Amino acid sequence: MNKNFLQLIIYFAILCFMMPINSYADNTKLFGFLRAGAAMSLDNHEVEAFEGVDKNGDFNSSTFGLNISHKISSNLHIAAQFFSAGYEESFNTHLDWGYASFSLTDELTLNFGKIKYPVLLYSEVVDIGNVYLWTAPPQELYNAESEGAYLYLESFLGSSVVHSRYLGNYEIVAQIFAGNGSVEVGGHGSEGGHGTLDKMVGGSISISDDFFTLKSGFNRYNSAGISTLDGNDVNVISVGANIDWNKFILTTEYVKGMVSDNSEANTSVFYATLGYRINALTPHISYSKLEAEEGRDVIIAGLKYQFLPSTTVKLDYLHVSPEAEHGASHDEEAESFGIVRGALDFVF
Amino acid sequence: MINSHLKLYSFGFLMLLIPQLGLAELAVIVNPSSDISSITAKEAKRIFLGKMKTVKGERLIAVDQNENLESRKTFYKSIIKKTESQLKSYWSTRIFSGKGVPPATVGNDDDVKVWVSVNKDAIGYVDSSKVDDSVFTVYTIK
Repeated sequence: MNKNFLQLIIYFAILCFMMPINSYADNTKLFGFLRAGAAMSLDNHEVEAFEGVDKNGDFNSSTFGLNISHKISSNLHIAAQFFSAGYEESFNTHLDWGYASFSLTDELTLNFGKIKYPVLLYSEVVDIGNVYLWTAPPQELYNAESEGAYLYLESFLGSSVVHSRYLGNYEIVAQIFAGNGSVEVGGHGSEGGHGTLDKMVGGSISISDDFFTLKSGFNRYNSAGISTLDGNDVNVISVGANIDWNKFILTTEYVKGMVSDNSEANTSVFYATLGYRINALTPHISYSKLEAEEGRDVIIAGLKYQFLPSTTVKLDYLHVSPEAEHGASHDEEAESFGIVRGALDFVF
Repeated sequence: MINSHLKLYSFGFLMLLIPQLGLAELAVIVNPSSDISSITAKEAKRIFLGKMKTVKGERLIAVDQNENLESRKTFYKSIIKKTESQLKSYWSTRIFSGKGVPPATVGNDDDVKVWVSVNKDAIGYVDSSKVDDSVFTVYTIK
């Protein structure tokens, strides 16, 4: 276990002893999540595009997060989340997000700080395993490794305005945001670099009830330090749906990134997942497709076991089919390979 | 003859049991000094899911009961319509994206009643048999 990871656990233990956790009278609340995760590529493949996956099946996809929120007054609260992952320079702990939230009215909220990217269905909870079926959401969409026009953004520094209200039985949430973001390009750790997304503006709107959520979003930014985008402006649009009806769960998203002066760098991602709940077990199957310079098709077959309300155990098999690069001969086509991932997710 | 008497006694015994079997009422309660006289099931659901902060202009802060208590099970089944697993997933989404935290748990029926009776903006739920003048019922779950 790494020193940084141990430090985070020690900080958490100290905090636990210092304050009465989550009592009504206390305006400070602590929560957390933990994942023990292992993943292994079969067929002896090196897999940079999938977080935490290697040839040895190490527990590099293990993660730990600590969330703290404090209510300053009835309309002002601050919250922050610290995150540590095995695939990020060996459990290097960092601020995942942290912002101040001011309620102008019951329906209108203003946020300032480091804010989680709000556009996709799972982008605000991408590391919280018990809210989705897979061991990790499709990496074609939720990972910045593809260096095309679509770059997955974890968070941005800036502000957002959120408006939420009910229309009959449906909850409508609309938000706009502006700021600057930073993405990792070309692999995590020492091999990776950073690109920035400047002058970013965007928004999203969702409609939901007990059984479904529809969400659509857009954002626009200027790229810097990302070789394939060459400083161009990029527009990203997205649409997604999640239906949890009876025993069936259907989730699908589509995202397209368009570069202003370089259409060859345009990127699109699509995935669809179908699950069927059988008591505590939910088998599921997914298909995802990344259309980019280094595109790929992925089929995921997995099983989620809701061990306790706060604990899930998951196992996924991924069949990855990389697409041949443009102009490559048949002999140069990359071969398909498999990945096995397992995870135990716990929230507290 | 003996058989028919046995059947009659058994029927009578079952009739006595019926009020005890799942027919207990829950009362959604507020502080007597609150201006709110009634709420709907929909409003109760939105308040306890952290999606509504005021009713008729009055701020309300929900307090919950401990997990595995009968009143809580009935409330979440009847009003919230979510299992504990679904509830955990729902609150995980809100907590870990910074959108909100679940209502504080203060104990059982008696604890909730005491809490609501001394906090002007509190709203909770208790078994109807626990309701007295110290709290005011705004919705009844039958």
